[in-house]
Amino acid sequence: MQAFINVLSVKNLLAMVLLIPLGMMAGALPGFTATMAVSILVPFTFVMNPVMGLICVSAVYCSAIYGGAFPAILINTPGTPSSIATCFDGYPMAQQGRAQEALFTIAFASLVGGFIGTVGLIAFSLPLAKVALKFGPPEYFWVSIFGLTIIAGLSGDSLLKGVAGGVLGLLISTIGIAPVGGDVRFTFGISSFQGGIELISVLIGFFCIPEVFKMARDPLSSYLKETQDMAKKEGYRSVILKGFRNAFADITNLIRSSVIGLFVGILPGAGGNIANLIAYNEAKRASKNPESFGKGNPQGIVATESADKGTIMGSFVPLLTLGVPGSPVAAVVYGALMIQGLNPGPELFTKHADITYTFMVSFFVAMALTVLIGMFAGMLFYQIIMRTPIRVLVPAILLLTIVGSYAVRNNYMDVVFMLGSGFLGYVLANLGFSPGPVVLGLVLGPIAEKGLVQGYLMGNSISPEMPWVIFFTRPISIILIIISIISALWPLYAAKRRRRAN
Amino acid sequence: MLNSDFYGGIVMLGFAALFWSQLEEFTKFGIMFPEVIIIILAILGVIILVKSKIKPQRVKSFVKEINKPMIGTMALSIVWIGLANYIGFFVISVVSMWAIQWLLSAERNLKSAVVSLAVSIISVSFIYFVFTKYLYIFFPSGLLF
Repeated sequence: MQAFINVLSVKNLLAMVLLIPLGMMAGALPGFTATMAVSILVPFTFVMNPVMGLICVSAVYCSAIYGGAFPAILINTPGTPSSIATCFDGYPMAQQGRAQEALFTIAFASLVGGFIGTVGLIAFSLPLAKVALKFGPPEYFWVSIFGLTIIAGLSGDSLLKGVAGGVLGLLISTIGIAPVGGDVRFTFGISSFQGGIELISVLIGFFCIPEVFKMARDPLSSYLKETQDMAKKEGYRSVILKGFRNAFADITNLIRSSVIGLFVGILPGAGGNIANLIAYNEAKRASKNPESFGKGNPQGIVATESADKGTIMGSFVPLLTLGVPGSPVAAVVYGALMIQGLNPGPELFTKHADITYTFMVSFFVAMALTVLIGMFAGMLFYQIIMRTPIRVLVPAILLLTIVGSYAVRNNYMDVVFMLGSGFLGYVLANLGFSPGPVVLGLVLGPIAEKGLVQGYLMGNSISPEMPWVIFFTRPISIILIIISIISALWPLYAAKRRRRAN
Repeated sequence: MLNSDFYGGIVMLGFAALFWSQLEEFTKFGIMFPEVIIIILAILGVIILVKSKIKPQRVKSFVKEINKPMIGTMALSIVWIGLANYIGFFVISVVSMWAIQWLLSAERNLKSAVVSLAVSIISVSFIYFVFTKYLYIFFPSGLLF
């Protein structure tokens, strides 16, 4: 209760209200990640008291992740990697004239995701952190394999092409320095590739550039024209109600996705980029109407956005309980805590319990404020895109994609790679290869490789004759193998069941 | 109609060959993962090619859908990104933004050219100012700036 009172002081609320729009802007700019937004904020928190500083961090983090959904829905470009799967149904909704409905749907879904994430963070931090610690390299390898089994859900018309796209993503992820061994691989003589391929650049390239080219094909048309007509016809109240109904139409989906986000967020190295894809796949798998996913099913964006918000809180579980920063943002916050004289770890729950619980509660308050402000910000963003003629929108989006892909690490090759990915994405999409599996492979590649090689080394140290046995004997690995097999076979089972029903 | 399986299979095999050609004297740990992935990609490429002969997926030729404004936008985006390092981000961005607006305009007259130029200068200046002054992200300056 005291934590709530601390967060709800006028000074703290005002700070949040001022920072949330800035965080949203950062999230909505493709290439400008939540980590960058929090990193910029952290130096300013040094002059604040610890409570206010941490509240500001939670406000910027929540709003940046939330803002990432705006471009995903309106221009098919994930603002942050956490919104990759939001494009799959959010953009088709926008094309059908339901952009505003989608924006309100994600608001309500985010609120629930934030609430479940906060409850999980407060109530189950310690046991969840203990489970996360039991994940070693073999478990991470199987997590990535499980992640890859969702390709079926992202493949579009051809599973074969989906798998090939996923493998291509895995291959592209090996460019740069090997995680174990330090080999410099597949740089093609370009020194900038030594640092690997930047996920953001590929995301922008695969999702945004083909859309920009398509827009240019018909420059005299009006972008998302139908949306304006529909919103005018039905009125805002009706659209808000639709968003509310969409979010709560399938409570199981909402809760399951939030919990997936929380758990994936807890695993060090995994984050919103994986959680939203898994949640999307599970929503599709559990749906009675899976073929409607990818064509503007609101349950798709409910799943991805509630999972994203669960991930935010989950990523702080290992940091606060064990002092292990499990995500880039947590690592930035780790530094901020140290400078404030707070040692991340068990001490936070004994010596500084009041600050820690205030920080935890602030996530939900920040999310609630984000949703409230986000509804208006989403409308504003939508109006800007609606009213801008295509001849201005095309170069403006190109400018943002260039700036976004360059800003990640000040590497101009990332911009070149972004455009190259755009052309490749355009050709592949027209040949029936969905961008989802390629991006999934790219996200999971480093986790899979690190898990495989480190697991092999672990196995080799235990039993040099049979180093691979370790992948099949650890209890959590066995559970993950079973889940992966079920997940891989599920589409076949579901197809058979549908055939029988027909 | 385009046999998308045939071209898709060729693209996958092309990538497998490209990466295979780059396999060097890597350590056991560095080669373990990519080698397997390249082989799997090549196998999938062959399967897609075989499918293209047995049960091809045919799609509408996207090449025919590429019209002049689209080609122009593609070409200008290549020029924009290709020259930014040499000419300078600010100047090439203003010029490219203006050129794309000009290309996609329905009415090409002095007024629209001036308006397009103003939009380009304001947009690029805003981004340039925010990123260099507040975020300390400096863009390639090239010969001009």
